[in-house]
Amino acid sequence: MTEPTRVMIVDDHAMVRSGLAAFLSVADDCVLVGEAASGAEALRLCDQASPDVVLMDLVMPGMDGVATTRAIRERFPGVRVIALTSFPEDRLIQDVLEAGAISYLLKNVSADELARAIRAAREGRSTLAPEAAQALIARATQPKTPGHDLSAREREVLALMVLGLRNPEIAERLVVGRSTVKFHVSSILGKLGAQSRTEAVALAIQHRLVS
Amino acid sequence: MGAPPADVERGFSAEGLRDLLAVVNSSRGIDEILDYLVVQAQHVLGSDAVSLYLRDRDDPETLRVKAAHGIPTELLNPSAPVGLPIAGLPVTTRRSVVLADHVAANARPYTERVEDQVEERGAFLEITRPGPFTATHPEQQELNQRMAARFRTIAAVPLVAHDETYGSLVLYYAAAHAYGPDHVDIGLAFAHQAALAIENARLRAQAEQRLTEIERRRSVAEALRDLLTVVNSNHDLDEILAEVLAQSRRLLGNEASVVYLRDLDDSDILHARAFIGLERANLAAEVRVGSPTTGLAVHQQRTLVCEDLRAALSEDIARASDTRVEDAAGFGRVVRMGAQTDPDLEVGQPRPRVRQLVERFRAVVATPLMSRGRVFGAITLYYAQARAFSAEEVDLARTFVDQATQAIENARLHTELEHRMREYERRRRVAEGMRDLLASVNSTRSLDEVLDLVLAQASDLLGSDAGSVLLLDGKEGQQGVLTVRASRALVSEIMPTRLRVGTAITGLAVERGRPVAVSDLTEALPIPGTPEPSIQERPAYLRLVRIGEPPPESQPRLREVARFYRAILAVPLAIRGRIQGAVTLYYRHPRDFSQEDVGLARAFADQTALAMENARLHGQAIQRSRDLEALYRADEVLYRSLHLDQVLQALVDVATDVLEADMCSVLVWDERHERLIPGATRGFRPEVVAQMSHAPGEGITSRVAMTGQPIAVEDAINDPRVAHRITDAEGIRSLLHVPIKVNGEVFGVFGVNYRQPRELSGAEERVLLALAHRAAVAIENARLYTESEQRLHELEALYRADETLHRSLRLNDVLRSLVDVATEVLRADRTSVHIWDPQRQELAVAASNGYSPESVSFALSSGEDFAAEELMGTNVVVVADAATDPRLAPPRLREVIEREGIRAALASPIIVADQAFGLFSVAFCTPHAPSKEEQRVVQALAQRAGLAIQNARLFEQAQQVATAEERQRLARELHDAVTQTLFSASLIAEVVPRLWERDPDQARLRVEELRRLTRGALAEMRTLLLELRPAALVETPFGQLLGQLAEATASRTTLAIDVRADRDERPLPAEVQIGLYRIAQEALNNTAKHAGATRAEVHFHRRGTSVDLRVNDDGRGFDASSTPPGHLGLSIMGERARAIGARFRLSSQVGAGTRIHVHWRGART
Repeated sequence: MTEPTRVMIVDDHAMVRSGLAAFLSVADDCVLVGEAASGAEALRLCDQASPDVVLMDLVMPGMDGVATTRAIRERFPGVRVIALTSFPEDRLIQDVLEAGAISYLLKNVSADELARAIRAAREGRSTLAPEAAQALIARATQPKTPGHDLSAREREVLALMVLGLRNPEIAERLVVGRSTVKFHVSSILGKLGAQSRTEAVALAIQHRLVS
Repeated sequence: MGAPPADVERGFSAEGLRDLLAVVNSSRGIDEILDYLVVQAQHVLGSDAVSLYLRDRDDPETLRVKAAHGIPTELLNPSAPVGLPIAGLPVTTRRSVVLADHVAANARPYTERVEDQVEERGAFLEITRPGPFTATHPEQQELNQRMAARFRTIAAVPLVAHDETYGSLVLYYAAAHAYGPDHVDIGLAFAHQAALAIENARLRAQAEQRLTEIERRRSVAEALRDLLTVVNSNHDLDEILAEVLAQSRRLLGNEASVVYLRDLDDSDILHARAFIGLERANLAAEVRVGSPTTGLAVHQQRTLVCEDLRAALSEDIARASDTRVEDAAGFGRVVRMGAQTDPDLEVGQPRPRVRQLVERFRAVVATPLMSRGRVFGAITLYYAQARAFSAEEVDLARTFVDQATQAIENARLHTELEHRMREYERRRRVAEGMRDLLASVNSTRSLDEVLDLVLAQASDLLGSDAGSVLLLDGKEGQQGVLTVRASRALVSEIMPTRLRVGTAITGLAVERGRPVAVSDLTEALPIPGTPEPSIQERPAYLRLVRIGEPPPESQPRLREVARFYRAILAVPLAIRGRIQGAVTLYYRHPRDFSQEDVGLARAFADQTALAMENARLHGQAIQRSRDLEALYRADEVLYRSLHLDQVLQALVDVATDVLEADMCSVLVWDERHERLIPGATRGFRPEVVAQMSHAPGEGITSRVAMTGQPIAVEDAINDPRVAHRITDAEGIRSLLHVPIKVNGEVFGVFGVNYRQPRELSGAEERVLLALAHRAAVAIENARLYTESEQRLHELEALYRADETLHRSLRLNDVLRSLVDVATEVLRADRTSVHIWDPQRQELAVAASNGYSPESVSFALSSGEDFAAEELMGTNVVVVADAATDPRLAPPRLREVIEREGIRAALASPIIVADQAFGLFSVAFCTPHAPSKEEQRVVQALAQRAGLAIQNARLFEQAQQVATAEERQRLARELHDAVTQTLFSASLIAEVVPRLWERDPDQARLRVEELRRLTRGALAEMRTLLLELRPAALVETPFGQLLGQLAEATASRTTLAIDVRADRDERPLPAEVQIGLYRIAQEALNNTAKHAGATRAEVHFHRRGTSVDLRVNDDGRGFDASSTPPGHLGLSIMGERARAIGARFRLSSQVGAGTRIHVHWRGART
């Protein structure tokens, strides 16, 4: 690798950006190409600066890290995103990885570890902070809750079923055809392993699949 | 038989004929002639006996013997049928008939046919055998035998004259006589002459009769002419009747006569209307139809005669029963008179009139007066001598009477017409008079005026000379005494002013309830020794014939009265169905009273009764209207006020007024003391009023209160029920008290008292009860008003309580408010709120009023000091008597009660969110019966307190939560910030060694940055600590806080923050410090995050008591008008400023930075 990795920093805290900038300044194989204080700014800079790797802070006002990651991955598929955050939350980990981040690091990481992660990301290899890995494993070994694989639409239909609406009413609510609703309902029943509508509703309530 | 004696032949000589003719042509009566004839016949015809038969006038087929000579009567047939032998046969055959040999003929069998009896002999017809007459009359046979024994030969010669056969002459010969033609001729000749004589006599008699008839008619006509003269010149019935009687006397030769007239067509009584020839005393003034003679003639409608009165009355009257009348030609003969049909023959009369009559008159003719088929009277003719009446005489009488009838009838009708006209006139006057009377009665004239008018009208219409109205005296009415109420024209000195019922005339009328009349007082004066009056019943009234002797003590002085007034009519007055007096009319002259008179007098009496009733009702009406007026005034006054004492006073005022009482009082029942106490009085002296509180059972008022019934006392002196200490003190003689009932219970007693004994009638009681009733309503109103006022007061108190309780959301304030409000509203002496600690099972005092510190220093523990279930239930606890209530027995409670002097208490649990929160209680130090209202109030307050406490709790919770949330947020932010800072610092720290080799200047910069970062982190930590320990926020001087804040913020950013703060060490009030700090924090955060500024300033100045905080930056600013306030925490900053009473101003312009200014004026004391 001759070319240094082009790195963009996305973080709403100025001092963090400063620190990271300082780090990058001594990393030989990296070069800072841009600093963004918000997700929107990040998208703009991505276009201009053409980074290889983005260090993405997750908790930001406005467009948060997850959404920005998704957006960047959609628009600039070649760009790798490393999530860098203070919060080891299960949900965040899940979401950002699904959004397309390749790595997840916490802000207790050392400089060396960070450098290694950037290199790995350029090469397309993930790096997960141990806490993150732990969370993922825990999730994987967790028995799957029923309904985890329901699509968003299916969840919507299920919510209305729980309210007691019949198919025509559901169709009216969601502004779709009745046959569509029927299709969704049978899919729901299959995924939940329910024999009947009532059973599906019971499972939904039991496992808090709907709010 | 032999040859006729020569003398016989010679007898029938010229001499004999001459004599005969002389007789025949004389004017001797026919009977004389007949007698002469038979004697002559014997002479001339030589028979031994002769009989002469003439046709009966009434029955021409029968011959009657008219004369006989020489023949024993027993052999003589008084009659013989025409056509049958012997006497009758010559009449039909006009031939002589001879029974030549009677003996021989008798021996032969009789035949049924006359023709067979007879044999033709040429000159005569011979009877040879008995005939049908004998056959049908067995006694004739026997007679024939005897006749035959005496006379052998019988010859009968027809008496014929002018072709008329008058009868037959029968000659009897003792010896057999050969009857030859000569005999026949002589006989015939003689008979012829006889017949002529008879005829002449008859004619003469007829002529005489005709003459008599003519004479009679002439005299009747004369009499009638005279009568007509009278009639045409005069309509006076009496004169006409007098004339009729006079004329009849002339015509009929009676000594006396009477005209009886009937009142009405079917009247039973005939009144003597005119008479002549006798005195009134002897007259039967009234004759009943049917009684002989006159009455019977009227009844039978034909003339009756009594030819001998003495004979007709000869039998003992007492035993005689019926009258016997013989019929005659066209009239009847009274043969015997019966007592029962004749009122004049009534038993017991001193002297029946008829007996009197009999002394004067012996014969009577009574002819009914008939007109148009009705009998309207009779004329009776009296003859001094007994005599027989011939049909002609009767006829004459009847004729005359018939003629006279018309005149009488006319006169009578005329009189009647006149009478009716007069009657009509009279009635009209009566009607007018009555109308005037009625108008007067129905007017509002006084009773006296009306009575005067009644008597005046009576005088006018009934012709009375004086009159009076007597009434049963009010009081003495029970004893039956009448007094004069009104009088007119009475000679006053002699009139009685008082009269006992039953005495004299008026008294009798009142006693019997019927009109009583005296026709002539002088004749009716009482006889000493006969107290019973003698009365005749008349259809309309009682005719007082003799007044009963009055009792000695009452002397109506009738004798004096009789000097002035002779006739008196008294009519009883009935008012409301009961006889209450009489109207008496006096007449100077004696008179009879007709039904009409009595009827009119009764009408007057009725009007008088009506007038009196009207007067009474009028009086009553006036009284009622006065009562009503009084009640209206009472209403006005009573309902004017809603205050009980005013109502009661108004009541006594009105009652005193209306009932003209000397004193009036209302006593009210006092529940607490169980006595009647004066509510309002009038007319009593104050010292008497003070004594008026009656113990139960004392006095009339107590009785009234107990029984709920009114009591009237007319004489207090002698009445044992009365409370004498009061009545004597005020000189009360009569009193009337009634209960006032409110909602069915006796509220009090209300009454009037009088210093004079007074009759307390129903009227006063009614008025008093009416007032009491109204008073009850007014009292009820007053009560309700008071109650509603109370409730209003309660409600107001509760509203204020609400206001107070809810004013604060802090628990302590709520509890404090509760005790304050309770003390005020309930006027309690001690109030407290205890809070229940479920862990410790204790009630601890949270707030109290009035208690001394020792009493509220300890907590009450359940089980020891009280029973939880007793006090901590859901209902209000009522302690009416703290001394004896077992719930307050535990020693520590008792101590408190005694120390504080509590007599009564109310307590209510406070429930918050369905759980027992605590106990709220009020206590009273005077004897107090907690009313239902108070209980309600306590409960209501506890409930409200519960709500308020709940609100306070929730608010606290909310506060805590809010505070916690905010703190968490800030903590998180800070934590976050610190982490970032440290991360950054660590990175730099790792980088610096490498950088130092490459670029020392750069490295130095980074070291500087490192220093800043770490300092910043420290500041952040300190800030964090502040959040974790809020007290520090208040303890640290404000300037220092600002420095810390600035440093913390600056470390996070590239912002340069300049802090300028006064060195003022005066502490700010806690909430102000916190508030300002938070505002500064928020402002700096905003600047750090959003402004994109390079510089910021924080200025803090104090001037006097006021404070100014300014945060400015030179960032990009924003458009304040378009930014919603929630954004950038602007609203938070504003609220915080408001919360501490500071003014907050923010100004920002795009591109020109943002300025925030907070000004706090200073604490208000």
